[in-house]
Parts: sequence; C-alpha cells; structure tokens
Amino acid sequence: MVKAKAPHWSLERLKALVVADRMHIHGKVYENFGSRIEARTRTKEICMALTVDQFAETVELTWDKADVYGVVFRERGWYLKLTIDEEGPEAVCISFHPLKYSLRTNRGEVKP
Amino acid sequence: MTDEKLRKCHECGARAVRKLAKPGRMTKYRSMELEIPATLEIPTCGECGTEWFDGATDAALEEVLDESYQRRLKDRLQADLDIIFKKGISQAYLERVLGVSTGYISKLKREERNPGSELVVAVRLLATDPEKMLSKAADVFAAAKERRHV
Repeated sequence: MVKAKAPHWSLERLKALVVADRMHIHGKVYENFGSRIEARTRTKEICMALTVDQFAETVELTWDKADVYGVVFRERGWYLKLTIDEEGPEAVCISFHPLKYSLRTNRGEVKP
Repeated sequence: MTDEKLRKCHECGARAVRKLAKPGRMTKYRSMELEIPATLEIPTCGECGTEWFDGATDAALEEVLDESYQRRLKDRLQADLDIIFKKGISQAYLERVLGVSTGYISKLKREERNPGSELVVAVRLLATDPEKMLSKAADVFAAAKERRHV
C-alpha cells in the first residue's frame, strides 16, 4: 500500500489562520470570481474543507515552500497553491484557478 | 515618514510589500472593468507589482466597486429608458414586455431600486431600435403586444 503524501504546512494551522481571517490572497485569484467578497468567501470555504486526500505536492520556491492541492469546485478541477507566512502570521493563497492539466492527488487524478 | 513593516511577496520573494495608493488601477468586478479609487491602499509588492489582498482591503474595495457598478448600471438604464420613451412607447407597455411589476420602472427612474444587470442588458437591446425590438420581444407575450400603447 502506498503511503499518502503529506503537505509541508499543517492543515490545522492553515485553517486556524483562515478562521481568524488572517489570509492574504494573490490579486490574480480574483479574476476567476464575480466579486471580491465571493472570491474571499469561496477561497476560505475551500481551505476550511481541505483534507490530505486533496494534497498533490509541495513545491520548493526560491524563498519558501508551498503546498499544491487539487480540488473540485464548480463541477471542475481547480489548482490551489497555499503557503503560511509565520511572520504575519498569515495563510497565503498564491494561486486558485481552474486546472489546465490533470493533477495527481492522494485521492487520485483531478481533471480540468 | 511611515514605519510600516515591509512584508514578503510570495510571488517574487522580495521583502517589498507595503500598502500603496495610486491612480490608474483597474479591476474586474462582475461584468465590468472598473477603476480602483486612487486613494484606496492595497498591499503591493514594490519589486514585481503583485497585489496581495487581506480581508479589510477586500471589504473596502467591494464597497466602492459595488457603488461604482450600480452607478454605471443606473446611468446606462436611464439613458436607454430615455431613448425608448422618446419613441412614444408607454411605460406600462415596456413593463409588460419586460415582465416586471407595474410601477417598477418608475422606482428605477427615481433610483429607489437597483436594477439587475439582466434588466439593463435587456433595455439596452430594446433601445437599439425600440419599436422593432419591442415588437419582437412582445411576440413572447401576445397579450402585451395587443395593448402596446396603453
């Protein structure tokens, strides 16, 4: 049996920051939503419902690490990249957009 | 001189994110591209220009964008209603064709209601050629067509 991959950032910590509304969202994320509030609300809801099953990989950025998740939202697969900045502290949504390519998660393949 | 602490940008890695207010910023809001008020501060990276939104900035921006969005819908609607009514078409007939309550257009004209974007689009199309377009639209509601100038 293959062991499930684990995210670098704790989901419990991420959710605690989201609940406290300590979350910064990249400006490009808003392009996929009708309004600011809708984008923030949906992004937070998706984060709060995240499980390790949806985790795909940890990517090493030059300056930090980010966890990538594949989630099904609005009846299609979406790419979600998150990190935590403990200096804030804050959760950071770097990307949240419809998938361009299939993404392999612990649960299986998430398709665009 | 501000002693605001610079935050890290998670796009380029530079420690250069600070609140910035400047003119000329545009953003998508619902179906429109709207200008962000020049005085509104948004956490922005001084190196790569990426904007990072927190809850307070989103709430402030949502409020001004919604106001601007509603203003543009109202202005567009008023202009198109003027075009239609100048053709001698009655308000009651227009209300029947659009399927809205009697007196609803009066409330929109007095800005007692916010028009929905679907209604504004419908009225925009009708205003391109009011008599022809209203006749076509009224085909859907035969009864409305019979009482055109009532």
